Amino acid sequence: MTKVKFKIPILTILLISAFIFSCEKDETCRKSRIVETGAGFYLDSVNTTTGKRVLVKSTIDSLWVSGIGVDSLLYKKTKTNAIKLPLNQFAEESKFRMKTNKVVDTITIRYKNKIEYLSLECGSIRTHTIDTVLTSGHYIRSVAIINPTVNTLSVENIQLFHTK
Amino acid sequence: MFCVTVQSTAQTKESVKKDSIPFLQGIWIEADVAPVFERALINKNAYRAQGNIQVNLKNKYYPVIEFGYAGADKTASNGIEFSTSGFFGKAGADLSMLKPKPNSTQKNNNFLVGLRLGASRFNYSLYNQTITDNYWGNSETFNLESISSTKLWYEIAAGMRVEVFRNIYMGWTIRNKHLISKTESGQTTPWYIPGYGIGNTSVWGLSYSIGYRIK
Repeated sequence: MTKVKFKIPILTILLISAFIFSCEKDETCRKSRIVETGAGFYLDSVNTTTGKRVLVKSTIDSLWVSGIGVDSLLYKKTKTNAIKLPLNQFAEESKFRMKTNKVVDTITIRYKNKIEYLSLECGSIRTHTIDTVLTSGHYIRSVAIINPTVNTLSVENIQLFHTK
Repeated sequence: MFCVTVQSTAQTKESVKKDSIPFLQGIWIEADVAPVFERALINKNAYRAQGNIQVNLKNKYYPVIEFGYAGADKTASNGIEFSTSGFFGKAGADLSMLKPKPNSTQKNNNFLVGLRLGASRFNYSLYNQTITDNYWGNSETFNLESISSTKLWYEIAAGMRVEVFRNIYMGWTIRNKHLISKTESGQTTPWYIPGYGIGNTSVWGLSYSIGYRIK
């Protein structure tokens, strides 16, 4: 009788252990670690009938983008209406040279950095809060910050306005 | 008149029978041996030592205090090293799911269901975290040492206990644990919480106890 009593809990514990712990924990990072500033192109015009400002999402025929001080290109493409700009994670200002439809502009983005922990498998990332965006004003005439928080969410953070 | 007398006698007998059950029915001191198997078979990165004191009140209620020390040392595939250790405590009560037979010699064999409230105050460290900027070209490796943390959780527990020899008991308890104090998104969070286990979400746990009935 004692033997029976002894065996039942051991058998039960082995079965439950096998059931609960049979799946090993997945140690792959499944979260996004990409932090980029979403920028959209907009045609800034005035409705001649109403006299009101009209903003329309526009497609750039030819685009070339590079970080100033960096050799590699970020974009060299045609027909695009939005881009993603990686900010320098170890500075509080990033400058981009942007050739849109053969006109060159310098876009300056100033921001604050913050370290965010994701998990043991993914580690930490630096996210940004944009303070200021400046343009040299040749083709991109003005800019607007619509979402200053730059993190792993793929959203439009800034709008780049051109007039032609 | 006759009916009233019979009823009154029955009530008196029942009252005497209920009152005859002593308030304190037993005290157990137990040690959890499941961590030995866990470390060998399931989680080689963690260790735990746990014991408890449980009392039997009127064969129905089983208040319990659990206490222990646990820790973990883990190196993730990305090279980040996590380290923690600390004490933990839990308090709660079980409810007997079996009605004891008055003449049974095994009246303390039982199936119990209950709740625990757990707490742990501990320090943890994260070494060798690296942030790399692939486009602008820079990299930083940093350590976060001795981060102080307090975690609270509750556990839904169910298990059984049987007498295997005279006053020697064995039993298992399966637990579903839920964190009460959670970490906000973006803040550093421990991979392992002493007494709770791995993770920032609900987890399952198992205890296998060997104990002695001291009263």
